[in-house]
Amino acid sequence: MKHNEIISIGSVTYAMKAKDILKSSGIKSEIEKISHYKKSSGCAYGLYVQGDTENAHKLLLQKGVKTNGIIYGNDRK
Amino acid sequence: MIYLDNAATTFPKPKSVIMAANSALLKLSANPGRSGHAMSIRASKEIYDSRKIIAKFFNVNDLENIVFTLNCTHALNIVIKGILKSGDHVVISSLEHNSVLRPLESLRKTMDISYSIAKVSFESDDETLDNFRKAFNRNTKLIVCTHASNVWGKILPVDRLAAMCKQYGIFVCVDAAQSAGIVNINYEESNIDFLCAAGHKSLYGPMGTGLLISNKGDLLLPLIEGGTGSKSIQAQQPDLMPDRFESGTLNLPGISALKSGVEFVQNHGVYNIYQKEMKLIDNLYQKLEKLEHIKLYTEKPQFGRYVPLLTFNIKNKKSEEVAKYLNKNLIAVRAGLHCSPLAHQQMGTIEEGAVRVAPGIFTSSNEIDILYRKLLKLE
Repeated sequence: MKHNEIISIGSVTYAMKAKDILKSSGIKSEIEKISHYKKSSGCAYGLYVQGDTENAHKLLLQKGVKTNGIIYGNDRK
Repeated sequence: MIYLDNAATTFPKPKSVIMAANSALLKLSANPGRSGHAMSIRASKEIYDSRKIIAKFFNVNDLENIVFTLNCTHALNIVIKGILKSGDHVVISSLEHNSVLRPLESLRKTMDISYSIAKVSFESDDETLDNFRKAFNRNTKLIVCTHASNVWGKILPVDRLAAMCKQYGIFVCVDAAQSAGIVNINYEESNIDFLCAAGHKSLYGPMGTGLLISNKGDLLLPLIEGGTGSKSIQAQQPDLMPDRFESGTLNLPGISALKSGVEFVQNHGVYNIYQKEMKLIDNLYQKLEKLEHIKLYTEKPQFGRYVPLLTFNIKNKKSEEVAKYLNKNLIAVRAGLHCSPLAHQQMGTIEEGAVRVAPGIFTSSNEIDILYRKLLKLE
């Protein structure tokens, strides 16, 4: 799984819910803790998506999952 | 020992519940929702799966609306202290537990909150509804109502009450300590705003577990604030559910075991458990009502109108004396006021208290017969 972009999500509960939602749409993803503290208002979890991250993100927003947006490869540390 | 104190907490716990707590302690003892290492993620997944199963059990659409609390009292305090402001008025039933009465009494003294007590009719639910309606005033913000009395077993018409409150724009908090797991509760189809439940009673989880279920968490100020593992740069408590109400490390072994308890109840069927226990109570009632020295207080507990427990006294004996005698005969029951002075006041048993018998899923009819024979000897 390529880890170029990551969907940042504020809590582990929402990260797991997001993973479930993507899975039910046939999209594989992995949860990891991320360290973009300022962008995420502190500790957060990220979802690495196998496939189109932007589409996956749109799907999550449609399903009411609160995210902190996508963090792109260049911003990753 | 014959354990007939299941309304206080169920015993024994199912083997699967014990195994789940054990397994969580052995294999998942990392802090959930905090770290990124594999065991912490697995621990978080276990909590998440528990929310999912509980959400399904109570028909809750969004699993983040399941908040894990220490017990039902904790959940009730979150609601009562989180929603009320100075000048607000609350209506409670005449069968409420101290977990409702005491927080309200405390707010009455410190915050200019007022409350009224609506009498529960044992004969007519219409009358109970009327009594609530008559107690409303223009400042009434909330009703807090037990789903089933922990003393007399009476089931209150909470769905009808909730529907009525919706018309008046009044919030509804239901204390399901004695009903969750023994009476079906459908959160989304009811008009209940805040549902509070104990994990360690008829959901067969361990002590130290409780639930607050609400899709209106944003209306409540948190009772406890602190670390949640989320939005940690902010000085203020996150507004995300369930983090808003879950500061501090969660009771993972307890929650994992509660999940198993709920699965256990689901596998047996809420109605089947209810039916089994009600038959035991029905049988006991029929025998006790023939005995001159036994004083019963309610009608014969009927299906759908009562939860399976029976509370009585022995004429000329104190309730604690009877409980002590039964304990010597290896039978565990609960005597006294059951932390519900209002319920005893209504029935006129505030002086002597009463003896409560509460079977569980593992109680046999033979055990009820043994109790009956011991009570015969007190004549």
